[in-house]
Order: sequence, then structure tokens, then C-alpha cells
Amino acid sequence: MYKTAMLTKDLVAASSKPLLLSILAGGESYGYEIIQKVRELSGGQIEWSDGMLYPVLHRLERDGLIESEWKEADTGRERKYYFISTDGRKALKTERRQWLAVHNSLCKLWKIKPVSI
Amino acid sequence: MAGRSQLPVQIMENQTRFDLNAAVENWRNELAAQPNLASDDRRELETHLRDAIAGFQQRGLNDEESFWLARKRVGQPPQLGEEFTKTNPAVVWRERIFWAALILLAIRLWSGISSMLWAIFQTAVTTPYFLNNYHSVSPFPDWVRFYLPLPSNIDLYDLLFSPSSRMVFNFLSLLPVLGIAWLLSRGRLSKSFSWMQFFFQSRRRFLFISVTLFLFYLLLLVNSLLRYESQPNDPSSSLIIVVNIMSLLYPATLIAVIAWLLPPQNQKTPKRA
Repeated sequence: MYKTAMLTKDLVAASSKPLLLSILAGGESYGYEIIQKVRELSGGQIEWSDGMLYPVLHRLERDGLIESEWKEADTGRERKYYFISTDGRKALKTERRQWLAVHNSLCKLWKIKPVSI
Repeated sequence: MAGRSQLPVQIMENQTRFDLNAAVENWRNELAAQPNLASDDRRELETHLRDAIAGFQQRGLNDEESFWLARKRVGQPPQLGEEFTKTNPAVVWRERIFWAALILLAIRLWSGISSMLWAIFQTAVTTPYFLNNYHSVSPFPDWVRFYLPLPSNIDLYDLLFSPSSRMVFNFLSLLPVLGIAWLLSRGRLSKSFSWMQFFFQSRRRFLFISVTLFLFYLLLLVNSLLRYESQPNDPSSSLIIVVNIMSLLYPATLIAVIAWLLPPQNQKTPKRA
């Protein structure tokens, strides 16, 4: 499903939900911008293939976690903007807890300082 | 020196003048050929492609390089179609049913209008002949009529009012509707038909307009049916009323199906791309 440089396919698929929800929690965005952001954030380690992002976004939308709207950008071009819903924020909290739980367990095993939840 | 170095560049540009708009248009048609992509998905992918092209252009690549790189990034149309169906096959089917219902409704409307035009044509063509017969006034002098390849009055009448010519006319009148539907599905004509989006922007607006038109037609129908009823000895009048009312069920069902598939709130419908 994804082309990756460093992450395995399964890990990219699993992390796409918290990544997308977190990005949209910071403000509405559209597909192209989201991909650029992910590439920037991960320093190129997470590489999402452009066309495959949309099925994930649409699934989140169908689950009611995000919403979308066609809007005209300042350039005059129309884009489909996505924004997070109330359910999405709740889901993000759960995701955050779970990912940090995994993270902290690994940190303890590897004797790295854990992050507070 | 400067003049010499410019020359090959100019030649190359002339040889491979790349038309970005045409390339995007081709890409869009290729995408439209994917049966699994809903039009909203296609529109979204196209905005992405255009953003990606603009991104590469900003980095100093020319139109052609930007287009091919962006195209590669977005992915192959068949692959895209496959991935999109996996996530939501229902959307595609909703869209298919919507278009089928819309085309059936358009055919129903057009067949009503065209049979009216046909009736007008029949009377317009045959009336001068009858006038001619009854009042012996010819539209043309005798010597003109002798040379004109017009059939005799009775022949023309039989020809125009025969069931077979009626069938031929019905078939021919369907062709423009099917032709327009085909062109629309290929993404042509989308500009000339964009005004039609107005009717489909929200469920409420579509229902309001179509129900108003429907009631208006019902009024005309009831009016003409009342004339039948004024002949109380005609046993077929009640049957005619029933048949006419029943024939309205078909377009009414289609309108209901289309309204059901439209988005409930006033939101922008996808451009037919």
C-alpha cells in the first residue's frame, strides 16, 4: 500500500491514522499539503505514495473522524480540504495513549528515558 | 557566442512544444476510463496532480518534466481505481445508479417533449394539404406542384400517421439524448452543461424544482382529463385517467431515487470531469 524508505509496510499503514489525525488537529489541510508535511516531519523516512493517501482519508471520513469540503484557495483553484471532527479528536486521544504505551514499553526495555503521557 | 548557444534551444523548444493543458486533459480522460473512480475522487486526484506539477515547476523544472514526475507520484490510473474501490465500493454504485436514473428521467422528459413536437409537425405539414382539398386553394401554382417531388395528399397523411413512422421518429428522437449522455460520460461538454449543477447542488433545491414542475404537469393533465370526463357515456374515460396517472409513477420514482442519492446539505457537487 505504501512505498517506504525506512518503515515497514505494516507500520506505515498503522501509523497513518494517528499521523493524519494529528496533522488535521493542527488545522485543516488538503492531500498534497499533508503528504509534503509528512515527508518533512519524518525527514523523508515516511514516504506516502500520493494516490494511496486518499483511500485512507476517505476511510477516516466514512468513520466520521474527519470531514471534508471543497473550498477555493487564494490561488483561485478549488481543493478538497479535510478537517478533524469531535469524534476524531476523541479517537486521537485514544491513539495517543496507545502509541505512547508502546513507545514507553520499548523505552524501558531499551533503557531510554520515557515520555510522560 | 550568445546567439549561437540560443539557437539549439529554440529548435528544441519548437520541436517538442509540450502542451501542459492537453497533457492534463489526456490524463483526466485516462482516469475517467477507470470505472471504479467516483467523479469526486477524480476531481480530487486532479487537484493533487496540478499541485504536484506546480510544486515541481517552482523547483525549476519545465512543464513536461513537472507533468511526468507528478504523474508518476500520483500513481497509475488502473492502480488508483483498484485502491479506491477497496475502501468504498458503495460510493461508486451510488454514482452509477444516480446517472442511470438521471438518464432515464431525461429520456422520459425528452420523449414527452418530442412527441409534442411530432404532433405539431404533423399538423403543420398536413394542414395546407387539407386546406387545399377543402377550399381548392393551392400553396403553389399547378405547374410547380407538378415538378415538386411531393407525394399525394393521402400518401403523405398515411406516411406521417402510420405506426412505423412513429416508431422511427421515437428511435431517432432518442439519439440526441444518448449522444449527449455519452459525451458527458467521456468528460466532453462538461463546460456547456455546468449550469445544470445548479439543480443538483442540494436535495432540497432539486426536490423543490422537480416537484413544482411535476405539479404543473399534473395540473395540465387533470385539465385535459376533465375534458374526457365531460363525455359521461364514454366507458374508456375512467381507464384513460387511471393509465395517465399510472404513467406518472415512473418519472416520480426516478425523481425520488435521484433526490435520495443527492447530498442532503447545500454542498458543492463535483464538477463532471
